[in-house]
Amino acid sequence: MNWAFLAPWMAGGLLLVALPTLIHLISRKKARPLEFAAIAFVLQSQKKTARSMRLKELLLLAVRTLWVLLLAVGFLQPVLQEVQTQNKSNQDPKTVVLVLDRSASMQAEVNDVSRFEAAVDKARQEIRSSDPDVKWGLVLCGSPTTTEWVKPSFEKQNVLARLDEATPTNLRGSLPHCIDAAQALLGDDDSKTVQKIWVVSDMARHAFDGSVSPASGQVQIHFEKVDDENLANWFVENIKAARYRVGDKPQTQLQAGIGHVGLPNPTETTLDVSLGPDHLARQTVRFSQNKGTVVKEMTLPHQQADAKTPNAGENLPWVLRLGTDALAADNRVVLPGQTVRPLNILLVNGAAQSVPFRDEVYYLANALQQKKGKGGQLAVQVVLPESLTTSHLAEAQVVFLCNVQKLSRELAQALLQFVQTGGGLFLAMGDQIDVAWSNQALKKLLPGNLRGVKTHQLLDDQAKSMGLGLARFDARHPLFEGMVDSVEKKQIVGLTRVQTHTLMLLEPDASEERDILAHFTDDTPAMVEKQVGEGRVIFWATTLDRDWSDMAIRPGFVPLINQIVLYLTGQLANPRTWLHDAGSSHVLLPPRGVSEIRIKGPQDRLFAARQSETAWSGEGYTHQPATGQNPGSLLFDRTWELGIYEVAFRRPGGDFRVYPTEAFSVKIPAAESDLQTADPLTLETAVPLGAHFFTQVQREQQNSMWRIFFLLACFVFFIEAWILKKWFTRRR
Amino acid sequence: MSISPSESKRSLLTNEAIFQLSALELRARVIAEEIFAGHHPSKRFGASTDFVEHKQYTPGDDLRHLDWKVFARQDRAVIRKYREETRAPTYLLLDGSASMAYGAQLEEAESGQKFDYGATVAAALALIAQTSGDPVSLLAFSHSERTFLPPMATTEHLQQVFSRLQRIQCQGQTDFEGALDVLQGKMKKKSVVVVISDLLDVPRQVIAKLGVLRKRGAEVLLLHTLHRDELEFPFDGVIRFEDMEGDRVSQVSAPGVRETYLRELAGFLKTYREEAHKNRIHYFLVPTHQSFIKTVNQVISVSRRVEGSRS
Repeated sequence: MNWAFLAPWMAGGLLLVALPTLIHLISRKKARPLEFAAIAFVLQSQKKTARSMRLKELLLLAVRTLWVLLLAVGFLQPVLQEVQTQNKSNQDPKTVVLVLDRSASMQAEVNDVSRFEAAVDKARQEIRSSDPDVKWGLVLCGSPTTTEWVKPSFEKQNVLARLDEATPTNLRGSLPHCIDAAQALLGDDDSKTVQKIWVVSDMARHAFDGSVSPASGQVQIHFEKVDDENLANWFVENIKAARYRVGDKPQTQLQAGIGHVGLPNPTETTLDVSLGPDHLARQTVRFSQNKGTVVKEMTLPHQQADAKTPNAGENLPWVLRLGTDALAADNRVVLPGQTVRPLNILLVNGAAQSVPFRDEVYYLANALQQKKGKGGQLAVQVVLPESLTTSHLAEAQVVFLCNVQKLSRELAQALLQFVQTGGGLFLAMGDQIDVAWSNQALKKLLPGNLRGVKTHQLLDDQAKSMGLGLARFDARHPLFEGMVDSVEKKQIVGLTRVQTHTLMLLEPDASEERDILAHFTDDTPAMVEKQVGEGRVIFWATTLDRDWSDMAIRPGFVPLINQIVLYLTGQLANPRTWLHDAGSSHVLLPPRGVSEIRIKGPQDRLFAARQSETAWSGEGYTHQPATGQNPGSLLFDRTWELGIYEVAFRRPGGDFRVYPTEAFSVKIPAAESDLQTADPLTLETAVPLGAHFFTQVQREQQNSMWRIFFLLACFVFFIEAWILKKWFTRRR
Repeated sequence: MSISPSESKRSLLTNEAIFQLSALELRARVIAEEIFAGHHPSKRFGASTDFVEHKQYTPGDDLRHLDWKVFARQDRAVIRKYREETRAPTYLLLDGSASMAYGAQLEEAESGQKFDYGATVAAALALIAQTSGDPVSLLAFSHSERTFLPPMATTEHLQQVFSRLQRIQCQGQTDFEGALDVLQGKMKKKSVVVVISDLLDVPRQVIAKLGVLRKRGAEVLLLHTLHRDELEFPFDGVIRFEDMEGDRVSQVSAPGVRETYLRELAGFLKTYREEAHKNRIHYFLVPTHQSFIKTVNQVISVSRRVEGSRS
């Protein structure tokens, strides 16, 4: 057992030991003189108490000297080196696995040096200074999926070289998992020597989720904290925003949740919002200890582009940036922006009438105008079939063919090309439809061959009416998002009382190219979807005016038309998270017909997946096949870098097409923003059962012998006070 | 000295207020007024009014004493005889040694200097006695100085008593025995002797000498005057105690010796109290923070008892 002093320069304080004696002597010399009449009694008392008083004074002096001595020694910070001595003798480990924490929180900077760099330096020094007969292994600790290791060997250079290449990740760290990995490496080592796992980390409390396996051999665990700073931090915790949809106002309401951990006093920072290079706004974020997440709301404008160049330009990102603190990475979040372009909708009126409300597209045009009236970027153009040209199609994104009898061969071909290149086509039936021509000219667009018109009697008396209602909606289809009755899941709000007396029948088709989105109550298809190339076609078996059906006057008509427009332009994907924590999985739902997926991450890293028969395969992708009610999904988990991930789909024979609405962003996990140090009890949860436990915290306990000295000094000080009160103070 | 105010009466006149009066006469009058409050002292000069017997008139008798009522009824000249009222002089013995000056250096006014306190009590007693027509004598004593004023009941004499009391300087050691020797030579049989002293460094045999005065027919009252500091020893820290009458010095930690000091003091007080009792001396321990009124009343009440027993 050796004593050492961490602050030997405080040795001068030992001179204070002489202070009580000096004070005692000075006080004797400077006794207060007092002329006193009854001095005879004082003299007698002095004579009688002389011996006991001397003893009491000596005791007081000794006690005073003792507490001053204890205090002075306490300031020297004495340490007991018993444990270290044992380690360096027969307990010296011969195999050491270095567990290097490289979770996101290790990017935090202390004195302009990141904790990760400090940890690497510390590890490098320890390895270089170790004896040559010590085997060194390495576990680079990221998340469970990104752990890398170097097996223990005498070749220190391997470990040093790997350390040189190591960089911190943006992922959530799990030290228990890494300790398990280190135990596995030690388990592979055959030598029956003392083994040690040396964990170099910031020991942030968030890193200790999980459990460890019991130790299999004679294992020492040593936790080495990079520094003693308990850093405070603020960070972007979450973002809530509805994605922009075509036709909406060119702005997005956004809620940013700003979290904070460990701020000692109420403080504030700034939140800057930029769209590409343009600085949009700056807000002040005020934190207080009693308040958790601070929510900031803002309205963000979108980049706008010309309608004629729909695919030109780049989607500028939104950047949210907080003021500088210890961990810079979690202060910045980039969100995929979306360029807003006017949406051109072309209505081809197959049965124009002079009376407005009898016109074929009267109700449809009005429904679209309502959307436009709310500030949406819609441009609606109505043309007659004979006026329709290819240039109309070139400018449009969605075409409604309403009760169109025939088109020229050239236009039919252009229409097919329009859909195949990503356009949306809505086919509404009517009395003008030439079934034979349609089946021939629009064969590739129709979800099935038209069979003919079927009429049902529609009477005023509902009980005797032969009219058909709508039934069996595909409630999970994005087209009906937000329209499904929350109580009666099979009903669509506003369309429950639709009555249809005439409809176009489709030939039965066993192919899986079409999806029936809704039926009539007699089970005939009412709305059918077909994917054609990059585009979509929706077949509506009856009219969009009131000739065959009264849907146009039902409350659900306008919302449904808006949904149809959004869906045909590819804006209605399944609602999914568009801001992920680094390392978490992003769910992809590839559209029908897509055979390849390509995700472009930050720094232009590409991750591709290809469909072979029914399964998807690719690095970073995990395919979950459809089972029962589960439609199946594709998970992408290479979300390791911070920034925007663009998603592009490719159909056989086509090129990759970027889907802006599928883009998502990745940020630092909020848990990593908590830089507060774990307490000793938490550390112990990461110690394998049976392992020897050495932590820096424990070393601090050894170092903290000064606390014992200070406590003793306080105790002796109280004894002195008691003696003073008992023997040297007048009792009042 | 025949007035006995109620002991239970609470005086608003504090020691602090009295000490603030610089003139001793004023202090005495304030105290006397407080004691006389509510009473109407009869100030008669000449013969007593207590009738004893008739005597046959003989020529030469003072016709002022002829009983005219008897002469009218019985045609017989008789003279009324009265009991002669005795005038017992009051001897005020005040210790003027240096130790009686303790308290002068202290700031607290409530318990002032012992001598100052004693002089004020003596002045008040002198005033009250003179008011009652009793002669008052003053004997202030120390080794270095001795002052004696014979017993007289005049106003001029009273002024002289006040003047002497104010001029006395406390110095030197006490000379108790010398003072008693002087008194024994000049004292009348029936008298009241009031001794005001701290009795420090006074041998206990002195009490026996006071007993001799008692045997000669005097009523002796011993006012043992001590300062609060002497009674309670309220000191903190290391103090160098210096003798006021000699060269003795003691440097002690005051709280350390306090217990023993108080024990010694208690023994001292007990000895003198018992000795006084043995010699039939009226003993009163009079701390200087005790109300003047109370102290003076104690003396007056004893005097009244003494007069009562004589009549």
